[in-house]
Amino acid sequence: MFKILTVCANGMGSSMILQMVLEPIINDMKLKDNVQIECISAGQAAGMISSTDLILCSEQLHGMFDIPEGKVLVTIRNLIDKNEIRGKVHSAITENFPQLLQSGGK
Amino acid sequence: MGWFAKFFTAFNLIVSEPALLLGLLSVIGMIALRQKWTKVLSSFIKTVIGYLILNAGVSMISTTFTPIVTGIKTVLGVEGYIIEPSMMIPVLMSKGQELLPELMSWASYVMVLALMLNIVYVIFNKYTRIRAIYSSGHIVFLGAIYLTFLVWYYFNLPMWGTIGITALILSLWMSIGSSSNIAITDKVTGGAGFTIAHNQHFLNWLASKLGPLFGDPEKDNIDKINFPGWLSIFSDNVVGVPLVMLLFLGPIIIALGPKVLNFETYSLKYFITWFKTIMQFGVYMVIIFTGVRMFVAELSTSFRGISEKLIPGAVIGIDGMAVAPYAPNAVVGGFIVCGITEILGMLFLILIKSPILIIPGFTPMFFDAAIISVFANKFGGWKAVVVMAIITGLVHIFGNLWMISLQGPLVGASLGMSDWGTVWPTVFSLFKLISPIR
Repeated sequence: MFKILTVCANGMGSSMILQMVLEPIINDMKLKDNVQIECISAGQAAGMISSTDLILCSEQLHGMFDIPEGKVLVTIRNLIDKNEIRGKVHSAITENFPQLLQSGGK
Repeated sequence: MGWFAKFFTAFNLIVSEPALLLGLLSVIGMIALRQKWTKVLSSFIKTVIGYLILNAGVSMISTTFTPIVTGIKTVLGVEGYIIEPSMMIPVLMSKGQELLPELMSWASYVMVLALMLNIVYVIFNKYTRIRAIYSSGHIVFLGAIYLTFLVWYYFNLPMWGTIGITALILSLWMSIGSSSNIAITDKVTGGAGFTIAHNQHFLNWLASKLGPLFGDPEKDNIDKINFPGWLSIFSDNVVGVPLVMLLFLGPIIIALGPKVLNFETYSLKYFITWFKTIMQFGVYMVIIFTGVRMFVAELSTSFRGISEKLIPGAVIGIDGMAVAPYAPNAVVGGFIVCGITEILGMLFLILIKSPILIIPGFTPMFFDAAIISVFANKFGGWKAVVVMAIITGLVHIFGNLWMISLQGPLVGASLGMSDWGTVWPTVFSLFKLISPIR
């Protein structure tokens, strides 16, 4: 199970938008594992990092997390920009979890 | 007709349970999107459980909160109101439901109806000039409960009359508000393509108009100022809400005397209990938000899917913090100035022996001020940020006083956010005038 957390201050506004925009993008990527995307507040995310693989949040929150080895943080400027999100998430997965990509994956 | 009447009674029984009603609505939404039965089932369960979690948080908060509000009344002789949306939910679900038992079911209908009306307005945008889809479901949820109660309080109409009027005014505020922020949001984000669907549409718009009078957005851009790094702990509301409560509610609880927490003296044990009591609010807040997040996520998915199918080109209104990356210093600067304004406002009320004590809460002072300040900075630099943050703080204190005078028997908390201290008290002042019963 590949676990993604979308994070914001409240766990409801920005993080929910990120989750909604991310879902179809992840589905399109057809990763070689089940993906679970959850939106949460920054405070609660801190306790869940060990069981998460990828964290997505708004740019100005980047200082909130200590990212351990093997986990990845992706920061986003425009929460509804599919291209920005697809580009950054795809790079993050290609660099850190290449085993998930379909061979010749997009 | 016997079996039909029985079916109807059974159906009625189910839909008057808000958890089940919301579950049913999410199922309808998922089916409309032709989701697999597994997704429909999981959506139903998540919605029901989300609502029950919310219920659990609300009942727990009342046991801690009520003695404090009572204490403020008996010991200090004033009515205390915390301005904090997450505190308004328990007030509505306890006092509100006590007076209007069907409040939560009616509010659920209002929420869905308001979201649907918003979509309808956008479909007919040639006539309505409404172009924004309001997607912040948690705000529609809270607004629906608050407004349903107030509309019922002022007009005492039967179920569908109350629901109809409330859904109408709520959807108009959502749609006009977020549409009015389209152009200025594009200016801030450089054409990112979204707008604000939140609680401060009016002051965002005002910031864009007043900003140029106070400063120059190029020369006075706030991002040229350096802020201390430790302020970033406030970017997390699990830290922010209890911290602000410690600062504002904390001293007030101490002033109520040790008996309010069942102690004889201000011993060390008292202070440990005092600290834990305030931290408990943080706990309940996390529980309440966890619940709301669960069912709002399910309903939002349905609505987003439906609106994308019907009006693919509409501008999406999202949570105001989406503009924070475009001026992160404005977020911090606005928060500080607004916070200071609110402290002074609260002290002013105490000094003039106001019968109502406004206790500032974290959410308005952080989120409202942050978002409004981003707009202020874009149109007038840091000088505009200072001015608008002060105005925002004053609205939080005095706008809320105004709204409190109109919210009838709901005591202990006020919604707080700036549209609810400007636009809505204006609307309800009018309602009060034309109300046949108040």
